[in-house]
Amino acid sequence: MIDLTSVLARRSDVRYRHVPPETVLIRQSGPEVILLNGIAGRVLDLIDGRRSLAELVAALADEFEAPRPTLESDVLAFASELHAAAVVEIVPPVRSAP
Amino acid sequence: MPRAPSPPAFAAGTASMPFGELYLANPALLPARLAGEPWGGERLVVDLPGGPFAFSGLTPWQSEALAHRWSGFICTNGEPAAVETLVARVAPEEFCRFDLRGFELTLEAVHSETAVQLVGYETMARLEWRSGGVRGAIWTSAEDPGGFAGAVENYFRALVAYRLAECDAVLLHAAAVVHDGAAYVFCGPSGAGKTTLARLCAASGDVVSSDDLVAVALRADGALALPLPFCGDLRAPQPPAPQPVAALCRLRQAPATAAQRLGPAAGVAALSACAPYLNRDPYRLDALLARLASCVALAPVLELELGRSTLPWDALAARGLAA
Repeated sequence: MIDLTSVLARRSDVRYRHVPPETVLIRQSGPEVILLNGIAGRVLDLIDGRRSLAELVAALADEFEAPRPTLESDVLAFASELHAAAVVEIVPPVRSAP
Repeated sequence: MPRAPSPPAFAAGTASMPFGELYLANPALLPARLAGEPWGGERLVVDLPGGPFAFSGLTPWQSEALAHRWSGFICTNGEPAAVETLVARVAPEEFCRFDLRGFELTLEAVHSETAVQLVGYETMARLEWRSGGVRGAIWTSAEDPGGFAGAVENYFRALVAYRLAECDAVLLHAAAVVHDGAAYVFCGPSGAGKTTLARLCAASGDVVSSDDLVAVALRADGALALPLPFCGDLRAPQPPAPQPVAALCRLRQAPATAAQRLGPAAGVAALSACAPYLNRDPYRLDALLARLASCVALAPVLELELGRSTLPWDALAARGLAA
């Protein structure tokens, strides 16, 4: 179950390239090619194995003018879709040094 | 955050056995460096895009078999080579034998940051990247000219694909047809209709430069289709001159013929499915995508639905792309 506390990382067989205004994503083990729109491509950039989805939404809110609740629900829906498509995986949160 | 409809997945199959087990008696003995027992002392230099490519360690009959297979592309003036390949002998017992009837020969690959290992029927090969660029070796037991030349060409196709990506070019699984002074590149996996279309075009008077693999060079003033000797059933009697690319078309068989222009990202996605070898290499896929992004900026990419026995020119003309 993915929620705003989840930390996601791109799977190792995933490569992507921004080709404005879209992004091409290739999952080599599938193999599968997926096209993403510009905001979805930006979300992929921000999925780095360190940020929680709440932090990711905060970063997006700085870049895009959209109501926070809308961003949260869109990001959660998209992250779940990427997870179901085996593009991303849930990783343990990175603990900061004491 | 909607995503656009996905193009179909790559058509190439995936290996169902561990690497090498289909073809090798003992996959653990796969060579880990570019060394081996040469067959002979002959050297052949082949002038293809990304080259010239030298093959050393050949016997006279092997050199002759390769020169015949790639006629029109052989260097005869002692030109230096950009890429060296050692051709080495290996005992037939190293390979599994089986009835090839009805069997589609494949070339399996494993990738690392500095090397690619390839295995096929009677063939092992290795590409290595060092500070001086890529070098290679192929080990084969094939003792008949046809089998030997086929084994070496399977390796050579992969080598050219990797080398082109280092030279501002891409290799596409495609047919190229020269029509009214420009090249139209029709991409697609086996069964997409490349050879059928190439035959139709040839019958109507167009020049078919290949029905299987096409090199596309990315120049500041546009994309250029470069001749290669890697063909399926059709081969031009003489290597055609490089031609400016008018359009790149992703082929699909359909009841009726129609063309639809693809946006830049959809174009990259369509071409990536038709860029053999590199599209499966996780270490070099980023470089391939960069080349394809340049490619779609230089030439229009279309999805071409092709009805049976139909030439594509009317559908392309409807998109302003053919006379």
